[in-house]
Amino acid sequence: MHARGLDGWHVTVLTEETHLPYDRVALSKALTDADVDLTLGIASMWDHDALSLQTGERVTGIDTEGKTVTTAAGTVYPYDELVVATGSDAARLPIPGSELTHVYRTLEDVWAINKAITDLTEKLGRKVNAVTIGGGLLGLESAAGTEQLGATPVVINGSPWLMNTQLDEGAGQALGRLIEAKGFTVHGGVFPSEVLSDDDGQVTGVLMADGRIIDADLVIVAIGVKPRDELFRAANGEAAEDTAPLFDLGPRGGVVISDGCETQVPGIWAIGEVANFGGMCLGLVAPANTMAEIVADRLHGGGATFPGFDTATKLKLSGVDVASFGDAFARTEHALEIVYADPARGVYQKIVTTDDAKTLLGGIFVGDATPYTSLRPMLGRELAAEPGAYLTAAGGVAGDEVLHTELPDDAILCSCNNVSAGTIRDTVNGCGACEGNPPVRELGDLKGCTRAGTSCGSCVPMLKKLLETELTKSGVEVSKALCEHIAFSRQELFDAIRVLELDSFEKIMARYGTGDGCDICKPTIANILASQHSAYVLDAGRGTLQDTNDRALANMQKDGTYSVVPRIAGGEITPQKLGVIAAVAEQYGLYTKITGGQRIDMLGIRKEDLPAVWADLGEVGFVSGHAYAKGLRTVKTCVGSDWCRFGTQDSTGLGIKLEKFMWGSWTPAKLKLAVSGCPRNCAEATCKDIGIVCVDSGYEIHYAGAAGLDIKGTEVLGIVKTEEEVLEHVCALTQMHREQGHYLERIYKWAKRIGYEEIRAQIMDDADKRKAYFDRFVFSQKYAQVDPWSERVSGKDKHEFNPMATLMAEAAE
Amino acid sequence: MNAETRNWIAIGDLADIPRQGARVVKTPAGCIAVFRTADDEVYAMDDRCPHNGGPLSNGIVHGRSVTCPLHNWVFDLATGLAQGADEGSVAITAAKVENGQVLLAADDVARRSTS
Repeated sequence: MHARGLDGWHVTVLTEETHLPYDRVALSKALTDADVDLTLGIASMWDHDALSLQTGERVTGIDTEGKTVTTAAGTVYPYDELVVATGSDAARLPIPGSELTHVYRTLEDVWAINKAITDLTEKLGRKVNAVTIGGGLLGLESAAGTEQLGATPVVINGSPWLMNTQLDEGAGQALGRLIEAKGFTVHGGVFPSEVLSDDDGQVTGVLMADGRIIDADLVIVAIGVKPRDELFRAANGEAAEDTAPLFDLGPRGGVVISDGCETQVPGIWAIGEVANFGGMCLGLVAPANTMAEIVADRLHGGGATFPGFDTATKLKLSGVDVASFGDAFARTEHALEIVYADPARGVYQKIVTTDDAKTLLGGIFVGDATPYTSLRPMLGRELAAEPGAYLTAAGGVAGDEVLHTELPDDAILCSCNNVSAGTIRDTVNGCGACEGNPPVRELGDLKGCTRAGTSCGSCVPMLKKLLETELTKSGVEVSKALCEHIAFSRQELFDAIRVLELDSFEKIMARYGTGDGCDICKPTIANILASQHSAYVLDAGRGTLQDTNDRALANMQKDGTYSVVPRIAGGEITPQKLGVIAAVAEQYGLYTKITGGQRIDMLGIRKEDLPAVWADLGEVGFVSGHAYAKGLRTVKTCVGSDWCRFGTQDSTGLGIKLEKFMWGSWTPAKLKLAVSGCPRNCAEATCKDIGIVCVDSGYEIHYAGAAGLDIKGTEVLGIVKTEEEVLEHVCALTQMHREQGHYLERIYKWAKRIGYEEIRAQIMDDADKRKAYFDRFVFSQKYAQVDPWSERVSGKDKHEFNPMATLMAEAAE
Repeated sequence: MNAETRNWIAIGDLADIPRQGARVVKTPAGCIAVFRTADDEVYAMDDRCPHNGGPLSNGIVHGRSVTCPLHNWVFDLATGLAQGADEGSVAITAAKVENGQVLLAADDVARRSTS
């Protein structure tokens, strides 16, 4: 309503819950982190004169004649138009002991589960057996949450396989195997008959219909929901007996709505889980949002109609991808199922098409859902390639390009906000969404203009591709410019700065830029200057160019405090240093944690305390671990040949040597290394930016691994014989990436762009080139290894850490 | 209130704030971020992004805007309004420079403490 204009409207929202409206889809986050804020939108939107929100106001009756609703508190609200979005309640189990179980529906529910697991863990002194009854979407989400809270997750599922509403048997079994491999126990095809407890009312187990008893300390019931349609039932009950009921209700609940989302009573609308359309109620957010849009459109005089439920689902359960869309069960007559199943890898992919294998009807993906994002908008349309080509797990290669170029105009690209490919094309070509405005050329403008990609964001990569495709089609050169202020790409700028020996932001902007710069070009240029001249990133007024982490030399956490990670090369640490970390952590009340890179993270430091913390750490020789930097982070190592019976070389020693040589260097993106003493690879070198695997004959140099947003094993650069050669090759490779990589582009992305052959040719095969890169690296290191923390301890950049003034209450009066 | 009769609180010298940077003023009702642009204008607003509470004083200042360090929301320094596709606003405190001193409007500071 707000988006369409509130002129002439006053919108009142009544909710029985005491919170601002929140994102129930993200409830699993609140299960594992009771402090997370799931509020939808921002609190200040309710400040609007025409909007009011009443929390803790439960509506108890509708008077359809007098057009009012009455709340539990007795307040009467008149209405012209009434939208009912009461949702549903968690269904309870009709078995003995049901009153001892938890449900999974509201914030209070998940907070109670969180508290119960925490309390039980302490009371029992062991892992809590958390049994979830229900193997559907919610049940699995709840079980995954209990696992994250440290409980042993057990799932009891009445149907023979998991998520049987979304998945067919093959996919459900694959999902079962995958989560069992992650420590879940799944009991399928059997119903519970009683929840058992001891004399104190503490749950002890679940008695099954087949007589088995499953140990349980806590039972969560997630078997489905029932629509909160009691207001409609009450209104029907009040009508005279011989007249037809006011509202039609579905056999399993829910008030029946038209395709305009209106009930039988004009002026009363129903949306979301309480609305029964086409004989069903559905608990998914996308259809609920669509219904809300339709009602808002109709109230503004439009004629939008509900197209039917979009049942597409995509989620990640304990790291396992699951997606299902369209006619996933191939119920359409003569539908074909193209299936790839690999139980060993735990992958199941299926595409459903019409009998000519041309039109896409649906699909299911478990274990690898890569094709989902591209395929989903193609639902009901002709595929450009054979269906098998889209099964990526089977080596299918139908590229995104094929899909995007021929995405039909009415295909929905952003399902959260219902934006079609056609709307995007119109906006890009300047004749649709924003009449009278110039054509859109930037992703940000496109999002602002169409609202596509502004909710969950999963369609943004497709949005960007479509934008680029359209721009290229209309002859607009797709710009490689850094931002609106710099027309060069990072590499062009890097070369220009080197050749002309430009050494300040101002000189660079005067020559190549316009304006004062922005949050894109400023940190990029500061990073280039740092990695070339190793004039320190914060010197000469460069501080304001940088992100806060680089400026504060620490990592900002979500509550605005910082964490620091001292350098602990190779993971080697002395008792004395450990003692100082302990003392500092106690003094400042910090949370400490061993990181994945064999260091110790100290979290929760107030910004103004940072210099004092660094002073204490510096006294025993700790220097910055650069955990905040686009630069060398850590070199992870295993113990190597000094101790290990499999070790072939001194991996710890080599790791320390590399870290001591390379620390302080700035690179386009963070740089993580590892050295493993043998191919058993305990230091996990084969997923690092650069990794060394020691072998009897020398050192295998690996690079271009990733274990973050993407997961990728490394490529082998080559084998060298001595530690000195390792150092030269690794530094040369780092320097090559430094000169060519885009800002924030990790080595694996850069290498894919440049080509592995090209990198091997320059670093392995061309000794002169390698030497030249190495020399440039060594030159920049001359200036790089100054500990930035100790400089701040001695008072540098004091303004960064201290408040400018402190005002007492009376000062303002 | 008539602008001429406003009371102003001096918080320090303009030179204490880096150009295109910010400093923090602590108050009982939370911190105020005071920004200085490239052409030496000063602006002040609550040091708290309405999205997830990010400290705006730690953001990058560009033109007459600041980018929140947590999730890159951008705010107009003069109006406190979120730019681009994001919706929201930050309460601003009137600020000015006189004789090299940075001043904050006392009524704005006081209103924060009482609201």
